[in-house]
Amino acid sequence: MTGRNEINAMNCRDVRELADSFLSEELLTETNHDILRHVESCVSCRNEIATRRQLRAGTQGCVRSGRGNCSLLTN
Amino acid sequence: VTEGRAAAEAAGETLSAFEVEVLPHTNRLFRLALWFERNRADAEDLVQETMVQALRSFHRFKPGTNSRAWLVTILQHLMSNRRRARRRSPLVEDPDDGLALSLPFAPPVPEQLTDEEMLEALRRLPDAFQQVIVLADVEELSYKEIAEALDIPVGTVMSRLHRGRALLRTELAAFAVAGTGQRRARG
Repeated sequence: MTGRNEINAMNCRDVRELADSFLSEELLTETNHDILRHVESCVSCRNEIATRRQLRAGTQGCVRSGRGNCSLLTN
Repeated sequence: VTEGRAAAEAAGETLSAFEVEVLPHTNRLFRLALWFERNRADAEDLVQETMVQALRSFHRFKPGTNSRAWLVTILQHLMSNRRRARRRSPLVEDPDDGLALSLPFAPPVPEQLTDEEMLEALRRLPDAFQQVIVLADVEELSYKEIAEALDIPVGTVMSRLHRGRALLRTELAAFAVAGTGQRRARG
């Protein structure tokens, strides 16, 4: 008989679909746990999530950097 | 005279609350405006308009909610009106078909990327994708806040983020290929 954990276990496809929402902290706590449980044993998904995290940080850094301040505040 | 004084006091309190809730976000709002308008003068006009509108509508702001998200919503509406007036491409074009739909998978992100390459890759995306990515990743708004700011369903925010990020990775992968080509050419 299949146990509850096996029924609810996420596969790689599920994790990839939810990875962005996971990083945006948009998921339910239970879903976060399911993802974490999956990536504990799946190197490929772990790397994919790390890549997406890196991409977000890169986007944030490049848009925020070197843009100066609003002169409305100083004029 | 008493009524006049009470009104003046109320106006003073509104201004104080406005200064606390809104003004600290000016620089960040400016960076967002600069990203979308692409020139300093237009970005400053947009921020100024946003602030004026925010002050007029400040009675509608709910204390305790995210004031930055509220400001972004005002800014997005003003920007949408401006673009319509300029007859430029619509702010929220429908990108939910065509190239983006046919993306098979997201390629790996090259390890060595400059800020300029990131910026250029982001600029190459259709506006609607850029918009949700910047609001989510740079402004760190929630899906719900982005949906309210852009007046689109949360599901559309999610699908645009998903497709936009996949497209971004495709653009970045192209830089890696170009970089390899340059290195080969030099060697």
